[in-house]
Amino acid sequence: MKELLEWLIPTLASAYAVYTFTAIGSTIVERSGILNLAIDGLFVLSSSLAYTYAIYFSIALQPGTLATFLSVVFTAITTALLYSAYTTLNTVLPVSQGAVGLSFMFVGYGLGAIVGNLGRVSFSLYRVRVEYIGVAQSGAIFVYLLVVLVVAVVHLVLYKLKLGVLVRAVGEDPRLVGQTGISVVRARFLSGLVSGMLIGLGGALFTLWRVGGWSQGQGLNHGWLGYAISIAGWRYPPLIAIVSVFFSLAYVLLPYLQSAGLPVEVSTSAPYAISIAAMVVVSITHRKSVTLLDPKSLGRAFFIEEQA
Amino acid sequence: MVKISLVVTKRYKKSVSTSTPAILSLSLLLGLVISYVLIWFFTKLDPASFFSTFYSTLASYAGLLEPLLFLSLLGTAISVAFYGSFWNVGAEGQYVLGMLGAIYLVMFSPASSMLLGSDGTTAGVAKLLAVALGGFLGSLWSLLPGVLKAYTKIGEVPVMLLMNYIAYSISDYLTAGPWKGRYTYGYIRTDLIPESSKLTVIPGFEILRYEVVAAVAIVFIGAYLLIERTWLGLEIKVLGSNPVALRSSGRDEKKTIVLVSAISGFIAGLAGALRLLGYDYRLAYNIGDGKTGFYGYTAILVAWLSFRDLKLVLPSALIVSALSSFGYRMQMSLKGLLPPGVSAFAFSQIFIGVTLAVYTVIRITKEYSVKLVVAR
Amino acid sequence: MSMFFPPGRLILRVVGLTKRFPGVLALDRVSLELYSSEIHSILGENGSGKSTLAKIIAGIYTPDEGYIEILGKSVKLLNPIDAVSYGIYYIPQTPNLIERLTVVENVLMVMRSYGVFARTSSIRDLVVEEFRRIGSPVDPEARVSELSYTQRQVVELVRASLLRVRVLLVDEVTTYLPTSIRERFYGYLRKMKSEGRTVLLITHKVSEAVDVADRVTVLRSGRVVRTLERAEFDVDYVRRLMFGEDYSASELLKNALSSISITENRRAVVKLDRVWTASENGGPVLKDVELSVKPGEVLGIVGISGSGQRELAEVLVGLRPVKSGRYYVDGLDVTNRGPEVIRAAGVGFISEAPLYYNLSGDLSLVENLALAIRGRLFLPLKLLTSKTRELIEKYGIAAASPKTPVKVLSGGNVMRFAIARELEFAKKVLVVLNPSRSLDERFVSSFTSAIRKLSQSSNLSVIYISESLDEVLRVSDSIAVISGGRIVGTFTRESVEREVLEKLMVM
Repeated sequence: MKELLEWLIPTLASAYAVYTFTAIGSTIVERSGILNLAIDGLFVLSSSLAYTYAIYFSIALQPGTLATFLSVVFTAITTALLYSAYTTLNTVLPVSQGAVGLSFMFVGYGLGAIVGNLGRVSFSLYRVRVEYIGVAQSGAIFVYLLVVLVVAVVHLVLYKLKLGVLVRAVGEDPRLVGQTGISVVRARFLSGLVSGMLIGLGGALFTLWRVGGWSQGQGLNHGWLGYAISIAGWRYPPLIAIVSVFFSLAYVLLPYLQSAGLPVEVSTSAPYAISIAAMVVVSITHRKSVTLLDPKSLGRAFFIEEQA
Repeated sequence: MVKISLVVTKRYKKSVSTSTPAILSLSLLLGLVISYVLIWFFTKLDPASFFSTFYSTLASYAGLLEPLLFLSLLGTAISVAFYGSFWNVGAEGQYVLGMLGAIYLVMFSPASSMLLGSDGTTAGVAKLLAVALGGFLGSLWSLLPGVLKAYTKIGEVPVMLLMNYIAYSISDYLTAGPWKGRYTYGYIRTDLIPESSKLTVIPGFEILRYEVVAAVAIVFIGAYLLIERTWLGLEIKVLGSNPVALRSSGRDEKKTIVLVSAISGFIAGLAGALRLLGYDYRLAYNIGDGKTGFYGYTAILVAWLSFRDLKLVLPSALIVSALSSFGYRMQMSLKGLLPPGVSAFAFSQIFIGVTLAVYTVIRITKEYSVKLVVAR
Repeated sequence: MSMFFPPGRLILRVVGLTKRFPGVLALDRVSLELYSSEIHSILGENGSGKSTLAKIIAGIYTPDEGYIEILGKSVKLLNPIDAVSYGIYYIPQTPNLIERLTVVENVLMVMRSYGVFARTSSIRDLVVEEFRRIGSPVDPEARVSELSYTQRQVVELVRASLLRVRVLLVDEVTTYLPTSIRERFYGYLRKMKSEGRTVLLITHKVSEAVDVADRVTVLRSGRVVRTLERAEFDVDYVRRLMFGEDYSASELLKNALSSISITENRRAVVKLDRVWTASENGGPVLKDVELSVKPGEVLGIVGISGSGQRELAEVLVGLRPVKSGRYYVDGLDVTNRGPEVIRAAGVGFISEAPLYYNLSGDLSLVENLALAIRGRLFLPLKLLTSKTRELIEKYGIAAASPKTPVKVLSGGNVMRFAIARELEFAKKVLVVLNPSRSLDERFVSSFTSAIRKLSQSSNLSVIYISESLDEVLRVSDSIAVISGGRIVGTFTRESVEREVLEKLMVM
């Protein structure tokens, strides 16, 4: 039992951090009215980016905490830029958000494979011993603190500051908000920036902390888990923080049950089945609180209609 | 100070549907150029080898026939769903379920021994049943997100993307477990299906099968009649363009969603069954690792490019076949020029994603006028 | 107030503005001058282009020709962001407020002097103070969805005031307010004026323009007829300018329709029994509604925008579930049995937005006609096509062919087609929702007289829901007023006083 707990707690905690960052990031994009179908592709891309950045920084500086730290930061910045491009494109033009989301997903998968392989080539060329994020023992506590901080700060920003008011307002009715002289593009650009940073952080920690290496296709579907957590938590940070515990637990524990005779295919697909089940439960739950309702304009094309 | 602003307005009067072929070719062209720039950024690949490889992909059209047939089938499946705004991104999973249905019928069902006896006279019935079961399973797989969308308003897109992976897992479970073959040289896979249940090769065209060509024709004509000539087709189109009008006309919106999801899934499952009986002949472990050719995903692009116009499914399927074959060709012919390990998968995904994005952006000009206003 | 100019300074000049919409010349070389400390009224019928003009000044629409000068300098207003930065603020008839956000959040949202990291609470006191100054306290923490129409408009005024706008565009805001509250609104506007601001009051009511404005510009069919100084204000003269020759005709129509049909002692065809329904947010939007309509009776239901009319229409045609209460059509209980049963019971629906409620714009006229019919398997295309041709001819719909997609028709023709289809297929009951929103004035009057004729000749019961009191007075046998989701009064046409209805509408 003690053995199990010694293994379980850090594993659970690292999974929790990854999925919570990702889910909170997804929440901000969708609260601003942008359907986040890009999430899985950009999660895969960011997890590959983190690996390659880590290799490059390890070669340029030296393997260690600084290189790891820098690679996390750079991944977060790169993903933030990609996400703000995503939200901006979806706002500037009345495109189908679904199609744009899927195309970002595909490109994310493809670029992720190329980027990761670039890192792997340098890795075998220089034989760097990449000491992955050194937080497993000493620094982990900072990541945990960061999770708590992110949940609290995002909640505060969304519901107490003007920035959050703008994000929620453009998610409700961008046309109406635009008519009062507010830049819808800017509000959505900013929410894309923040979301991308968090999703990038999730992807980076996934590679550098949870997996500790890279192989092609890594991270596939883990973005969707973050998405499912965001929906199951009613796109509301405090609830996401709670829901994420259960998802992470399921994700961590199921493979463990393999030794108890559970087929590997069941344990790999169970999180997806659980995600679907969670979405069903959420959608049939009657929501009394206005705060928990879906953003009114989620996924709708935005344009100014000129009519007589 | 110079201010630049995009003024986008919805247009009602002018319909620009005639320019659809132009939009298609422009998307393909721009998609290739942008993909090249993206790939160049990481690989410094020279443009000559990139574009000459694309040209040689088109030139070897025989190699495009097989993806063309399956992308047409799956593209039709998804297009029918798109008419009803049912965004079937789960064709990949339905396709896999179709394979499972077909192999079950010809290898593991009681019917298989009865119908595939020594004389082979009833083999045709077995094949027909196998395809029908594949279609049925595909339609069940698509029905679940359809029912969820209709009755709980859950977006079908994430559900189906997740279900695709569950379908892979089911296939892998069966392949490694109950259906594991005896003569597999150490690979984890099923045995080959009985010889008599394999589809018929068209003499002179090794890559074609009579049954597949016939199925493409039947499915295509059937889908066209459904959409343009039947009451159900009308209801599907109204569901896709204005669900409120469908309801206020006294029709059951939910029933229509469920029906369109089932029809779409049936065609996708049928494609999977044909694939298994005509080309793969067995299931292999790790099916999600490219063993489906990702046709179910690739066909999403076919359906987008031919958006709600069945006539355009074939040309779009051709374009997409070229794009996806292009990825494989690049991997093979540019081996020395690319970082090792960079796979066809990566290129195909980039081409598909970029072309889809470009098309989505260009397409808005059909419904909106976009003016760039520059003020001093 | 230092940021405003002394009275009489030329603030904003509009020169030769032209704006075309598909098939319509909405504005035709319109020029206008606005001065500091004035209330300037733009007066015109529906469809005369006054809202379009306001929306161009507010940067919402871009003009095809012409330009705008602010303080003598030509400016390009590419979007509302530009307009607000020049101190121009637009208040539409339906306030630009986000219903699910609170009052404070709605105010903070537009405040440019507050950075994105400003706390919501930091502006609370200022908001409370401004409400007090205007003299209409509103709970700053209330969600907008909980506010009355009048309160929402006050929130808009508070926003404008805190934004320190120079030019305030008020579009039909006071139209549906009862006289007493309207007077108070005028007070707010005069206060704005006395501080040196310019108020552009857009209205179609002559009395309103004459009461409060310093100058009045009359628009007709997108053209400026005249700008009048206060000394020239004369109600009849202004009215003639506004309507042109049509004035006498519309007056005649009003008189012709004053004969009343008597429909007593007959069983009700439509009966709503204590019906409640909920909004998308779950809150009640129809409260305890009781209605009954007899064969051949036209029941007008009037209320200001957002009082539950849309929801009532949706309940009547089965698009919105009833939370409690019963709904009967011709004695049959159709409560929550969906549009399938209700439509089959003979209920037709003409709405303010046919392309939203009734038709599919992407599909052809034939297919849209088919939508009103039921069938199995294959479509009888030949039959449908000839029936469509018949309707095109009978109702004078300008369409190239029966196969033309509905969306390429002009707005008026789309509406005609929707009306044609419903008049053909509604057997017992016709639900009409705000038709004047998508019809020009002239077609509205021929439509209302057609409705009256039809109701009498074929015993059709009509529920005519509208925001326009004039229209309802013109068409109805009896009138019910809806306010805040409740029927607050039902009257027969003879017994009713306009002033009473107006008061009830904003209760």
